[in-house]
Amino acid sequence: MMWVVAAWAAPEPTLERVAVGEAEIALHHTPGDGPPVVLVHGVSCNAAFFDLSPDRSLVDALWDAGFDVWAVDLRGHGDAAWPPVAATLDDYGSDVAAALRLVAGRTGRDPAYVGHSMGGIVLAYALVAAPDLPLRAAVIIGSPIELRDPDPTLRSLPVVLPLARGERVPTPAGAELLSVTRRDTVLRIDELVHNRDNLAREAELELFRRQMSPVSPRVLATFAQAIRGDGELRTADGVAVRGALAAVHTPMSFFAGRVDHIVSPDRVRAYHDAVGSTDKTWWVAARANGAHADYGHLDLVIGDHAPVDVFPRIVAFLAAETR
Amino acid sequence: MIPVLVVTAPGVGFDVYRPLLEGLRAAGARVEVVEPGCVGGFDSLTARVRAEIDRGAPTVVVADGLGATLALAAGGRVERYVLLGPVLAPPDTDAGRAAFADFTSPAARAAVLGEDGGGCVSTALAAELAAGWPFTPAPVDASVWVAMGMLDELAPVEVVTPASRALGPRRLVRLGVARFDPRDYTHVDLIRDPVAVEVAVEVAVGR
Repeated sequence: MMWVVAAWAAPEPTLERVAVGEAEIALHHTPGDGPPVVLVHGVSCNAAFFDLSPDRSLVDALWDAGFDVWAVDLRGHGDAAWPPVAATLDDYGSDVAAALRLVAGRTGRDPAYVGHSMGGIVLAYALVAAPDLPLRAAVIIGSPIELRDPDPTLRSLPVVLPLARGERVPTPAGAELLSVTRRDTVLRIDELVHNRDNLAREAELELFRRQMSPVSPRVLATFAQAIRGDGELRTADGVAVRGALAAVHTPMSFFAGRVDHIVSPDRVRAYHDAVGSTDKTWWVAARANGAHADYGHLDLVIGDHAPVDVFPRIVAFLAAETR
Repeated sequence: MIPVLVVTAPGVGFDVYRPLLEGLRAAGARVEVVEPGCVGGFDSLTARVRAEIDRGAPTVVVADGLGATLALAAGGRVERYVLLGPVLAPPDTDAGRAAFADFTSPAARAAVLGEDGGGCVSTALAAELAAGWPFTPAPVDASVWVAMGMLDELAPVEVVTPASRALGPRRLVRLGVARFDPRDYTHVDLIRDPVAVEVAVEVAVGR
């Protein structure tokens, strides 16, 4: 029995650091025989987010389905060194472009893409800067493309941002604090970032203690600028990314969480509506759609029920689009 | 006293509105209520609401769900719309599609309104909802405030937010945890939960 389990377990990923200008990204490669897929994490997370534990691993689910899986640490995250200059969303877009081109070059196939939260935003930045990127299909999970009609939590960002002095916002220290307090004591942050009924405490602790990376204040500044302004996320050149997505015709599948308080479903819907592709799907992870829970932000990928509710839909979409 | 017309929603029982009505009266509003009724199609229900708006115009209209749909379709001289989970387009979840396919079915309605939201629905209106959505939002000549609940499956945020832009400038609020409220809200919670009611009342009476 042990032998059977070992035979079906995904191999340990290999780690490779790749230069992108003066910065670097890290690629965690779990080789498979099938189509390549690139995974990109959100703010303050890293590649390990997609492989949190054997019972909640999107990497394993994709590998099991035959995919060749490449999980990326954007510059300054996980195993990728903090860059000489704090990163912007444009910089992360360059990281995404570099990862897609590298994987396409290595495999000889246009990769598919899965982005969670900011990982979905920076794909848009990459596509706006380089519309000809090798990209077969994309799955966007809990990603906004605009910040119009901000909630009080979002509106507080421009107010608290000046407190984030220095080169990096030390979110891992904050997460460590959350891991040693009761779930609902520190500004109910855990309740904001995930549905506590869909994320076992031990998984939450694993995330908070080991899988967090510092945040670039320049990224938060871009969000704050959008919130103070017209809500549109813009490139360094001032291009409103949402409007530019009309030129994108890549097949895409969008996932939103019913109680996602970080990126509410209407924001994900705006991303869906902005993309020019006619081949796009949309699904809210909600009991009203047959899911086992109403999903929050992080549990869309690491939730207790994500392997049953979410992963099969991602695999099915990517399998259909990369056939 | 500020004249407020509360338009109840087809499918939502009158008892659900009691906290909202009491809150409005306690805040000094002169409250009238129009129950569109359990007989008649979309146009006749809309006409019934319009007659009440004309009787008290200009007025503040407080409405939820399909009551908000009827109130917006009715038009008339309205000073301010206070819309709680307005149905501006049909929900696109499995449960939402099933409910709108047969709005007369209590079980189908319960999937979007909860077990305790029950009120009557005219068979004519239900047939129209099943045949196709009868209302297109358009700019209104009044201030518009829209409250949404993250757990509202009758008027889910992903439908209300984009559709409400067609009304013109409006203030949009996602009630719930993202606003540091005690919890997230279903559709009927928007009408009866003390926190949600307090917010709506304050907007309605212009505080």
